[in-house]
Amino acid sequence: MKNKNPPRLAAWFLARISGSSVAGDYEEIYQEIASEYGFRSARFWYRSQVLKSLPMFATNLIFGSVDMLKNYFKLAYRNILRHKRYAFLNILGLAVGLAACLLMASYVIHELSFETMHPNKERIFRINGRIPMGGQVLLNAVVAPPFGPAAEESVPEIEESVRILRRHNVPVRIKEKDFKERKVFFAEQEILEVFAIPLVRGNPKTALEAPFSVIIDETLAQKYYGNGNPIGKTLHLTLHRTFQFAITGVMKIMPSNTALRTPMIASFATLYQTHGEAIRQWQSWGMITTFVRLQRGADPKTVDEKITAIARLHLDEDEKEASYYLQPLDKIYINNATQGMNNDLDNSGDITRLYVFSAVALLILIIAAINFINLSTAKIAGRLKEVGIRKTCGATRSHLIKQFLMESFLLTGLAMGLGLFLFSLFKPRLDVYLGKSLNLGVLSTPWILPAVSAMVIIVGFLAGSYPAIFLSRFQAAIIFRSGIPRGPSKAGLRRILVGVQFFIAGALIVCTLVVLKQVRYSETKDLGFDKNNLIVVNNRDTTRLKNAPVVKERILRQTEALAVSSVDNFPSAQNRNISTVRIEGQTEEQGSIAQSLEVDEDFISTMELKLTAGRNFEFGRSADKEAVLLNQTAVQSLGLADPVGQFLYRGEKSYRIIGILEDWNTNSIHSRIYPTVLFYADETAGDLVIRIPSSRNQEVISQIREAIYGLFPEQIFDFAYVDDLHFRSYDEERRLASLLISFCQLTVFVACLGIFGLAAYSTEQRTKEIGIRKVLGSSISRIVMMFTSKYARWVIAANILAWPAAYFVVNKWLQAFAFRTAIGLAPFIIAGLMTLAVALLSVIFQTLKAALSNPADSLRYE
Amino acid sequence: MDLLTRLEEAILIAVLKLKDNAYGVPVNHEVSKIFGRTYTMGGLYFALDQLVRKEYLKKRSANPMPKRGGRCRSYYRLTLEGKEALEAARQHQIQLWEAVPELGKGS
Repeated sequence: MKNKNPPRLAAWFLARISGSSVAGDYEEIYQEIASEYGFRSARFWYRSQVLKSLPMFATNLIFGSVDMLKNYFKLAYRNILRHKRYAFLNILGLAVGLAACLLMASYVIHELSFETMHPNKERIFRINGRIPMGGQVLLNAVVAPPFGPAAEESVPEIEESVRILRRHNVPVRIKEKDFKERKVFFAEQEILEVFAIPLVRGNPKTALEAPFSVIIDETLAQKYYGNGNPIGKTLHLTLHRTFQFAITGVMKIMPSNTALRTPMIASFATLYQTHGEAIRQWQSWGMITTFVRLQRGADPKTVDEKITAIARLHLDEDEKEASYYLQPLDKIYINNATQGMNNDLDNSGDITRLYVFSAVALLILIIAAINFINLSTAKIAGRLKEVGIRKTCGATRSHLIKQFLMESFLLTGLAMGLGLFLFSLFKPRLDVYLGKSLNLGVLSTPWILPAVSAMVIIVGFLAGSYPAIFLSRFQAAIIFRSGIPRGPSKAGLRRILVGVQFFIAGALIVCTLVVLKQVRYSETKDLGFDKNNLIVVNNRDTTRLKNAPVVKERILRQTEALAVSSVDNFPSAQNRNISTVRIEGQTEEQGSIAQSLEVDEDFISTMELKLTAGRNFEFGRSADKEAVLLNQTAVQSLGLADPVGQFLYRGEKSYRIIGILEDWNTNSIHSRIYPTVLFYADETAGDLVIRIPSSRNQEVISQIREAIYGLFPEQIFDFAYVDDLHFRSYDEERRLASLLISFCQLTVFVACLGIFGLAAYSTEQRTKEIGIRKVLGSSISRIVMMFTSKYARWVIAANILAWPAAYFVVNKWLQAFAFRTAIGLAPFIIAGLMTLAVALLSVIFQTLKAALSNPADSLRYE
Repeated sequence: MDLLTRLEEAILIAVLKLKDNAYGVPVNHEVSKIFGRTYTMGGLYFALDQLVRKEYLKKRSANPMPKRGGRCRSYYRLTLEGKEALEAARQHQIQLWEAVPELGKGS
């Protein structure tokens, strides 16, 4: 050992906490041990002494300085009271930032918490299919009905399987009242056990055994039956026909963070009665969501192969290409947006959106923190004299450091309290706003409070340490000898910080404006058909609406409707039929995927589509049953030069192309226009598209209702406005836009607080200069100009830097749309002018006040 | 008057015994000898400080010496109150044991 001294860091630490003479004792013993056992063990002993003294050190730190702590607290309290307005602005800025950040965090946590509440969730998987189609691979979240039981029987790793059939917007009739439920499950008994769904009433072992039994949740029970006991009561559901169900159970409302959330579960056994053979056949695939629970310790990878083998055993030749795999339950919600899953359980979460929200939340927090630091440091320069007097009275540097830090921590602590208060105030509104109940609160999430506290400590420390270290360094003599010594000029740094704030604010405003522009564009975009004054009457009950011509005739005769067309499955953003079509000489693989639609001859006139070539279907012309109309996109994707008169193949059947339509868009404009093939509908076509004379005409609607009831008294009348459907498919963007707007307001507000503080500081520092300038004949406007132009430069520079960043982000966002608005220059310029205007407004008051003051006052003491 | 703890008693006796050489290291040695285990230095100094605060001990710093890394020693000496406290502790002890004379007599 070359070094004979004790470890340096440990020595420093011991001397620091236990005083010099004690440290001397340690060193003596150290030397003793060293001479007896060698330096190695001496060092070891020395270090262990440090560890052993830590508990004592901690107790001393807390209890030894209680008195001084009290004093610092009192001083900090007085100081806050003295500068009420400043303290208020400062606390408010940070609190708002904190609250906004927490709100965002609670949303993100909710999204990430999906499916975490199920017991054994790591053993639950969904069977998904990978289906090659037209050169692409489609992912499908539903499989053939017998798949689940077959897999459970022949794959030993599978402990339990649950089959679920979903139905959306199901009409429900109770006594004479009609309701509509957004989502209804038909599920096997096992769903209650596998997903641990608790029943409030009814027997969880048998509730879903019998056909035509149904479980409803507590809200539905309340809605349908008030406080009465619903068990044993009956209700009617309309699938393809209307059936009567008996209520066998009431379940707790499911949490909002599961894709399995549904208000109503009917028994799977029902389907054997209602859908007959179809539910037993492998060929009627694409219906059933199938979950499996594996045995403990089973490897899902090996199960993938086994289930694919089972499927190949049963499926037809042309479906043999498909393979199947297990998707973990907790990956279902958040991953799908990027995977493009078809027939998913629910709208899936979007991981990019979570990133965006987290980033925005973080930005706001950063702005607020910067602002806090800015305001704190700016104000503190005026307290040099206080430092001088304290030093003269015997305060050491460490006392002053502690005092300044204490003040800073007190402010941040208050901000944290106010922030949490604001958060709890706004959280219910956010919940309503996002259409979710964020039942996993931030306060119940264990890491949030420590994280907030850590942030408060960091911000408090950063804001307090600069004045603490800088100001406490001055010697009292210097402070008093030359009046105020050269003030700490950290204005450069502060200006950069304000610049950063306006950079963020500017970028956010640009993003918001573009999002708004896109929403506006989506709403007003020409869709190729007139979406106003158009309604769709959904009709699931195909047995009753068999004779479409009669219904159409009746509606046209009895009501003021202008045009009626019967359509099988009117396409919307969520709903489209896809099939592979090809032309002569193409193999099945070369064909293209097209949206197929069965319509009658009135479709074109009702929708107001434009026929560019050929002719429409003709009523009664039997050859038209094997004719199709194409849209232009379909013509292009099939590569047809002269389409009219050629033949199109779907499966084995051929169809003559008789006409070409201009493109129109009934899906959302997120997606490009699909190649669309219109087939001629037979008389059983389900939905009716009706053109009404004026928008939202209740009278016509009720006339139509009467007309349909007149023909089919049992039918549940279920309609939607097409423009509503269209409008609703941009809900997500509208929400994003309004969220961004609120966050823009917040950032701009906080950034303005920052620049306000900075201006206040710099005018205060330069009161004398202003006085002298005025005495020498400077005008008020010149002085105001002098101050404001500096800030204007910074804000403009920040904006110009923000433009490319914002452009990059927004452009990326717009890529998700097939039809997008041009970004244009306007958002950038508006954002620039807006930030500049608010910035100057908050500066001008300060400078004007300073410029108007009487030079006699500011120079009196010189 | 507060009673002394065992450790405090031992420290006071050690200081008394060590006379002019009563600083941290030898005091620790003495106390350790009595109790048969080493006290951490931290524990000992806390007790020492406590005794100084109670004014049973008086602390005095000597000149720094190179052997101690240029640091000074703190020597301790019993005050009058310290001696009284020790005496009181002893009296207390005797009184306590008088109640059970048969136990104190050996074996």
